[in-house]
Amino acid sequence: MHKQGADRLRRRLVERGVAPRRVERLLVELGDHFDDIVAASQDAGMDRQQAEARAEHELGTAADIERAVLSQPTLRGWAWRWPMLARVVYPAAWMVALPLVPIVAGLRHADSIVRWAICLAAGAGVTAAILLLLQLSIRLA
Amino acid sequence: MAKTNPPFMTGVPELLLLKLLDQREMYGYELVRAIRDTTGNVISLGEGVVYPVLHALEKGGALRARRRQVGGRTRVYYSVTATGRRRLATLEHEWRRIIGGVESALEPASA
Repeated sequence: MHKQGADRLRRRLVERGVAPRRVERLLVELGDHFDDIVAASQDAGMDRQQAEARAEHELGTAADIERAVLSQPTLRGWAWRWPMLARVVYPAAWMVALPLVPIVAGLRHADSIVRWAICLAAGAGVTAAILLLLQLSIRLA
Repeated sequence: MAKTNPPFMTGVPELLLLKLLDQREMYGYELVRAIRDTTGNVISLGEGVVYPVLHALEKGGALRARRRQVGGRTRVYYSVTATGRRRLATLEHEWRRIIGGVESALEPASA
């Protein structure tokens, strides 16, 4: 399979829910198969161009292989196999996960948050002290 | 365009792949050639489309895949698991049952 066909096949399969690692393995095996057909054809007396044309024909088009992959539902991710379930689970999972994000972020950066809180408290204390002195000076004036 | 199987061949590739891999482990190109040789060229699978079937069987636990270095090249070899052998037995039984039924239907009606 020529590079353009392989790139197109890779993109279409990943877009349709096949795991990228599986797609890469498929393309490697197809590439090896292509080379085997070319080698066997050349051993049988064909020139390189004829051998590659034969290999393209025997292996099938990217569309044929895409169709064959997509006809095996177990090769696609669960969200593609059960889309209605995915449409329920994903939003519910995000509703649970989102409030946890600041908590997790806070725990991971606890030392920075503590320093920040101390600075804020110190700033509040200084501001309060200045305001108190102003009030006292007005009263005593 | 690569050869595609007629509709009544659904399930046949899985049966043939499991049967051949039950005898010895093979990689994709070897398997396609073995199918042609053992069926006397009666059954000729589209060569590229054998890989999705192999991957699906592996995902279902019927096959095991491993990389082997042969002649300076790394190839993915497939072999049958215990689950695959059970699946093969089921498919063989179903196939013989269907073949028996079709042959009965094709027999000329007795006078």
